Amino acid sequence: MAQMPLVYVPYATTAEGRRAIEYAANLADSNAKLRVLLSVEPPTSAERGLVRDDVVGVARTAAPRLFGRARRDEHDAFGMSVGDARSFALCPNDILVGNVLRRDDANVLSPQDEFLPGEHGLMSAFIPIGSRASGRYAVEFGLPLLKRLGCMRAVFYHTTYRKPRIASSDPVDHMDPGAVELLADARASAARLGFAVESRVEAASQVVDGICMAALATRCELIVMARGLEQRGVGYADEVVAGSPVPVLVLGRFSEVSR
Amino acid sequence: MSPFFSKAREFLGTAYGVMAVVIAMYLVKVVAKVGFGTVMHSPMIEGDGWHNASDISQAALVIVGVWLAKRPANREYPFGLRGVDAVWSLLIGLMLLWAAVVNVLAPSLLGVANAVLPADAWARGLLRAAEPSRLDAGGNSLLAFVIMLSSALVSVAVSRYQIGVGTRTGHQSVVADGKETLGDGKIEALAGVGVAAQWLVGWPWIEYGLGVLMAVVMVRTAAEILTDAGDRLLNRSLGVLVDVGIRAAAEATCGVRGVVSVVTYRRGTCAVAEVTVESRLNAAQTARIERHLAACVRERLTELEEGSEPYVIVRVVPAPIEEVRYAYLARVDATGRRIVDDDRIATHVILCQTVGSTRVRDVPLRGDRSLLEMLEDRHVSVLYVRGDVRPLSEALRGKVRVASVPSSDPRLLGIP
Repeated sequence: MAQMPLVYVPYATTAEGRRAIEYAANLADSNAKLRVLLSVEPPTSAERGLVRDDVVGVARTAAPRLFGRARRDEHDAFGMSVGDARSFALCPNDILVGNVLRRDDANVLSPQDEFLPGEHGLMSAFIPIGSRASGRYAVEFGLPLLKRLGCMRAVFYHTTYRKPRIASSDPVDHMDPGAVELLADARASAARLGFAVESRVEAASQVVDGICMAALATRCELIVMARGLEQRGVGYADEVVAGSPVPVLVLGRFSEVSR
Repeated sequence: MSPFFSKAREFLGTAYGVMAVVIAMYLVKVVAKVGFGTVMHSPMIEGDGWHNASDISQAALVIVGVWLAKRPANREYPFGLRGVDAVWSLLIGLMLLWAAVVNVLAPSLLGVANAVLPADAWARGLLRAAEPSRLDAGGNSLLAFVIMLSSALVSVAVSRYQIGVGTRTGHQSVVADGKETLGDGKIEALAGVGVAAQWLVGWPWIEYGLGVLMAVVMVRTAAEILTDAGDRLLNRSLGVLVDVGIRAAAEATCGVRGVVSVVTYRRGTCAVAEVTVESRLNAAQTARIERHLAACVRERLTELEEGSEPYVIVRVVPAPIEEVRYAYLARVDATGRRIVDDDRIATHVILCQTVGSTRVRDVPLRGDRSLLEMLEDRHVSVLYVRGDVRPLSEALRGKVRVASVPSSDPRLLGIP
């Protein structure tokens, strides 16, 4: 049986920290467990209690279903862990929430300026795919994780350069064979998992701009990407995080994938 | 195909070409109906002929409007010259109203009165309609029926041609005129049915009754044209439905903190929407919000304001700077920093200023002034302490709110 994802968020009383806690609580509302990260040595039981009260207080107003589950101690819906968000060991089934957090070994979700994953929870995910391994990784690893979070619609996006020797104005006719195969596999994988599947192929002038604008146009609540496996330095995923109004989940690189 | 026919075919596929065909159609109709109606003393048919005469003016206006729409906007006329269309629509509406009342309604009413009250001789002597109609049972009525029915069929065919060309060339005024041509066809069919009924039943007043009905339709058409022209000249709002729809689309966009204003109005043939929203995101993100919203609003206007060209202005302004200042009462010594609840042992205030992101700095407490003075000078709204909040709440006399935090370790609280 698939495990419920764990949504981690660093505990902070700063304004950005409060927004991240609210987003994480909403994300975990029905389909995940919330874990608050305390970045110090194990605090006293009194401190633990006060932190719990504080976060559950946020959940009471922002994420009532999580609050209800926490009250009933249902499936260990809420908990605390000690660790630095920059180095805490995380599994493939975990998500770390926070802006300006970059980790290659963890799934990091940047909520941007949103409090809610969506009006009715996380319903739609936008998954850019190219023709490289990072796109296939995003499909094979990201889709099951999204399904566990309650996502029901997947929009695959691909942008291609127009080939001068091809007369057609349809961008689909300009796709590389590898991209065509990957898109077909992605659609099939998503359909098997029960997603409502859509795809969008464009000839955008800039990849990052195309991704951001298409995510807005398709009304998706979350962009899901993987970093290029051969990437060094800043890549498309980092540029999308910096330039997208839509929240972005950048998948970590794990040796084994949790299904 | 010869070059002439090829060019003719190409011309007939343009907005100018289709409107030339429309004008030719109306010219034939005006001559036939006004001539026949005058000879037969039939206000219904003559009135419809005059209606078609105003349609010629309208078709000419559409041609001029198409030409003007091609003039590029410039600094002096940022909307181009589309506004002229509203003025000409106003004149056409007035002309149609005059024709409806003077040329159709008045004679028809007198005709009805004549049929019902034959004693009203002095009034009937003032107008030609006092002459009894010659559309009696027989060949005249049959001819009238053929004229009206043929006219109706031609109107329907030409309207489809207009709408097809207008849609393909992107000229909404041509499409709108095509719809009016279709409406005219329906009126003509109604008139033909009326003539046929009169011929079959033999009652002369049916024609005058239909003339009154035709006048009502003409007045209603004139009212629509005048109202539309007035809306464009006076920049009337596009309506609550449009405003609410645009506002909902803006609020549903990621990154939009709030909608400052939505202003919609007509300007010439344009449906204009000016939308201002707030965002806390960076320039690259807000630029994308702006482009996305502009496309959404343009799509919405195109859907709701058929026949109008959408013109959208979107502005993303920084959300009001919610500068929040809060502080933590702290003791800083050789063992490190910790949050305390007693200002007698505190050495610093950890001051946090949030304008988007949070800036943190340690401010030492000085003995020459009180904690309250120091907090007020720095506009601190909340002081966080670890422990009992009551003593300091009383000391600060409610001027600064005091709240408790779960830990004395700033790191656990996320304070860098």
